[in-house]
Amino acid sequence: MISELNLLVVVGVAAGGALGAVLRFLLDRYLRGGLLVANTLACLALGYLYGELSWLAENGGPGADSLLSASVSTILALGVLGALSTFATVSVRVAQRWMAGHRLRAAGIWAAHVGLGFAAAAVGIALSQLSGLY
Amino acid sequence: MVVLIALVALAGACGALLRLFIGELIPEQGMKFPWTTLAVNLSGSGLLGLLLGAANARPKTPDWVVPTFGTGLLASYTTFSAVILAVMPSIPGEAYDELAAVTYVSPGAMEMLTYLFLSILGCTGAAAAGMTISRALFGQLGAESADLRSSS
Repeated sequence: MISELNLLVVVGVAAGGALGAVLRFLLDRYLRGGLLVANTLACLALGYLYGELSWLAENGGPGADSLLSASVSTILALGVLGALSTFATVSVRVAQRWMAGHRLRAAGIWAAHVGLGFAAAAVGIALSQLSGLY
Repeated sequence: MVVLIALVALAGACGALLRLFIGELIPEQGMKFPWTTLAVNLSGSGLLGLLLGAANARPKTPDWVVPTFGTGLLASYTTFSAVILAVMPSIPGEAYDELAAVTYVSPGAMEMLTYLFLSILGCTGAAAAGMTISRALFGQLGAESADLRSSS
């Protein structure tokens, strides 16, 4: 994502990763379908961020090339949202159900994550187009 | 609970940093295919399978081990949002106008769909393999030692 690995990015990604992991941990532990919520939320937010960054890149908006905006977007995308979303946990849960013989339920878990992920990312991108910067 | 949250936070920070550093070592920018993210997700899923398989085979595993190394470290190390966004059409503005037309195929759409299915099937397979390996390595041993304890 970035080539300039500065201290702000390293500290920020660490703090963001901690925040994302704890949020997902709490969602998964106390909410039914919490893992699906975590992955969907991360796709929504990353879609929004992606839309804003694309707009800035195309239009040369304020701070488009500044190191700070690159650092902040890396912290958000790679730290917070990267850690809030997870591939490994979904894989393991699907594998467990698959090996227990619940093939349809296993496929359904991936279908739900991917389907809601796409929908949420699309909504996020659309929201970024509607928001003030656009 | 507070200690557990602190452990998850610490491990989550490590997982995200690990992914950052691997991305710096093997940058994806010049690649036509997101190999780095795929490798991160494959390795993370396989390792989580190993961990959970081992924890299941050994009931005496302390309660904090799986939340810390599984939920905190390995789950944060892998990412789902980056995969979904990579598979989304590349330029939102134009792509969204074009998406109305069903015939539109964004550049590299086939590669990205391949990436999605490779991630899903590969990571699920890696997780299953990890759990199977753990069961083979620790399951039998765990059962045997339990038998020894109960008979003695």
